[in-house]
Amino acid sequence: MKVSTAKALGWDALYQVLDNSVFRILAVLTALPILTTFLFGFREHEIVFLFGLERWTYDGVLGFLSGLTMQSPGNVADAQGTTIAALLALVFDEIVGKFGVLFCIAATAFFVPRMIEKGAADILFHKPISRFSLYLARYCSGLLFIGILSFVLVAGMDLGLLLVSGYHDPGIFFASLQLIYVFGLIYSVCMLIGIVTRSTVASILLTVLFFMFNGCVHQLWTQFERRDSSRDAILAAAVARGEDTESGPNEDEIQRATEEDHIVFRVFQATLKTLHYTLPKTTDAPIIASKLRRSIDHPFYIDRDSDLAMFVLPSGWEEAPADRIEAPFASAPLEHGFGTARLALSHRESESHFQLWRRPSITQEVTVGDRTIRRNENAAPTAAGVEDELEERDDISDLDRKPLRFGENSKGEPVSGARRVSWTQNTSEGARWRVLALFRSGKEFMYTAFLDAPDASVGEELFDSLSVAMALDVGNDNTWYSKQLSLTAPLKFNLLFSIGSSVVFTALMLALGWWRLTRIEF
Amino acid sequence: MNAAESLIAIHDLQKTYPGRWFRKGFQALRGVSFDVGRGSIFGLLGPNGAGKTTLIKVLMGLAPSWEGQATIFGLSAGDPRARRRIGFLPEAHRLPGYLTGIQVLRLYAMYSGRSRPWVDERMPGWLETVDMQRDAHRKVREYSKGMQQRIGLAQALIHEPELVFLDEPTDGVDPVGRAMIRTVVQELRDKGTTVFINSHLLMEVEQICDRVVIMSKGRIIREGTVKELTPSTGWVEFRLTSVPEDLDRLLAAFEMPWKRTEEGFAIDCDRALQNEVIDRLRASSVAIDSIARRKLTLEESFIDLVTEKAR
Repeated sequence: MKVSTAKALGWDALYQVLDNSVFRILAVLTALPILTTFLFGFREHEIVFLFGLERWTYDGVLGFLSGLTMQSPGNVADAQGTTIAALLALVFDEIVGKFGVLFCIAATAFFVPRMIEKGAADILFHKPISRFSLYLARYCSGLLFIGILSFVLVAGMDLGLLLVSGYHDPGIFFASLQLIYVFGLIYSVCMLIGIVTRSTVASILLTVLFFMFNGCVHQLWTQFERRDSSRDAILAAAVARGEDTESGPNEDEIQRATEEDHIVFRVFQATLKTLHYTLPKTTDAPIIASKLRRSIDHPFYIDRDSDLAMFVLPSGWEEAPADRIEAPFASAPLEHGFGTARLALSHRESESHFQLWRRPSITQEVTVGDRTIRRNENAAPTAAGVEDELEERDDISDLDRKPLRFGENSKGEPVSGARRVSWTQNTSEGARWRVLALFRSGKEFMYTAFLDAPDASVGEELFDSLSVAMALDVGNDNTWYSKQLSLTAPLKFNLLFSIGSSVVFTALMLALGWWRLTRIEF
Repeated sequence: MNAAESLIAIHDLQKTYPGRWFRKGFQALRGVSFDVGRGSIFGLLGPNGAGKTTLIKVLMGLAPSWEGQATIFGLSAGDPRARRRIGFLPEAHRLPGYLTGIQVLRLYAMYSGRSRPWVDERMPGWLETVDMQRDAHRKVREYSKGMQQRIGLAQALIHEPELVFLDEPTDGVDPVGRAMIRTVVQELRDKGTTVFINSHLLMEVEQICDRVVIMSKGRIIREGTVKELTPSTGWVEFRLTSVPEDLDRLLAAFEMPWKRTEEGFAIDCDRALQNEVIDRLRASSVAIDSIARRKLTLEESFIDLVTEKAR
């Protein structure tokens, strides 16, 4: 194609977008969230309206926003960042990510039917441009439509946050890519419908139906996968419990976990799987954007081997010199030990200390009936070993062991099986409150986080702030799927497969549309 | 005309529109053959449903599957290299409403491979030619039908094609606009551009076309120059200063059919007899204003052909 022809197609796309009245309406609507970032200042301890006209604390706001987005705030450790992250998730994942994309589909659905209308087609398709180029140009027009709007929205909000709240997150621009990505996947279907039916109304209605159906398929598939995953976990736990007791594994539990579903149910699940693998994974887009945003964060500390990170160093803490690092208790005769020290922090005001240790995690393969389960080391028995060790000591009191909720590493992979053991210990400096948390990051490493504080109340507060900073306790049930998605995960949870299969689907839709277009007799 | 001189060469062209589901297809072209020479104005005529528009669409690459032979510039019809050298004004065209007149001309010329500076340099001249300077910056959707036709004509010509297809070019255009289009077409021929016109307005075709093809029901029923298609009728029309009272007596002697007209009479006669009539009138002191040998108009010829074919 000649350069001048390509330029003409580009200009044509731009003129078509800018002349669109729905585009203008959406541009005005885009100004609303931008305006919000200029009207509300998200400061460190409060939210300020119109430079001080009204002030609110963060209490309640966080819960409200989290509830709206049904998501955990992620890696942000402070209230300001958490609130902004939740606000951005609300705007990009919920409002714009769903309704905005549908509006854009409705606004651009006429591009193809109008192009092939009698009269319009003759004057366009006689030009020495291939039908594929013209078809692709209309697709690019659609992408340009949402690209301009989403970029203005993101850039405007970023500017507002920077000027009024003093907050800047370059990762926010991934939200624009997220919207273009979702639109691009859906718009290929809209164009195919447009070329087959030659009707704008049919294109809009059928595309919206497809968008909803696609989302339902994905959600249902996720629920099934989660159920299967928890079955495996129950099985592994039953086997583990069996190994710990003389009576052996609980056969009832194993039978329930390995019981086959009804044939109808299995056929339904197989159909769902086929559809899931075939259709574009639009619901993965917010997760991908969130992981991309996280990937360009610069955490205070990151372990590149496992991606365990501490994003923000909580106030009052400072990094301690390496020579201050010593084992939590030198005589610990744990089977596998704590490994090597990775990070040491000290809190001068309260005279508290924090240490992070790492060692390779242990993996075993267990066969149950005809199934082989790969069992990773669980923090629970290790924590129990620590507890047993501590119970035998005279200088220990108030020994307590409890689970921690799951969190994520810097790539959004689960930090799993976390357990904490806390106790009060008499030392030469007097009674000290100590807490030790064991958890896995990735599948290869077992970590031990150790905190030494003057008393329980100070220690709990400091441990909480550090846990939040390490994203150890911010996970919830709604983030199960996002934790499974990663570059290194098996195919069904693999990010590259998600993107690749979606792009292949889009390319197929475009190819079908082009094939249909080449056969039209104008 | 040999194939080398032909800009368009069509031989036994057939085109059938496929039927939907179980319905039978429709054969729009049934073995059409003709050539169009370089630098001529070629007219394509025919009643509705004759296959004229289908023929143009095949040549433009808009109707992809056809049988037979159809070449433009020696390239198969629809070849992009040929389309680059063609200008086309379709019938009942719809230019994009979101573009202004200037944007239409610029983008459509760029689609044909012309650079933006090249187009912008020639833009004022073409806007002036089609008398659209004042409205060039308005959106096409605000244009009247005639204005759309003028801009459409300019878009077909601005990239300076060697061959121009005009499908009903004067449709919706006022008489002044029609005259402008006729002038433009004649100027194109003078510059060596070949013009292929499909029109229902036979008067215009008669005025400007060098060669004409008449189609009916997918076939060519007559082909030739305008002169060949508008033969003399044998009747001679006499316009008299004043009609004498004894005209019946004067003409009865010739024993040929004749009839009175508003300003004289018309008589079916050859040249020799025509001179005798003149002598007889002059001898009777009848003043003659004009004498004209009456030819068949293209319209009459067309109607005769089409109705004869229909019978």
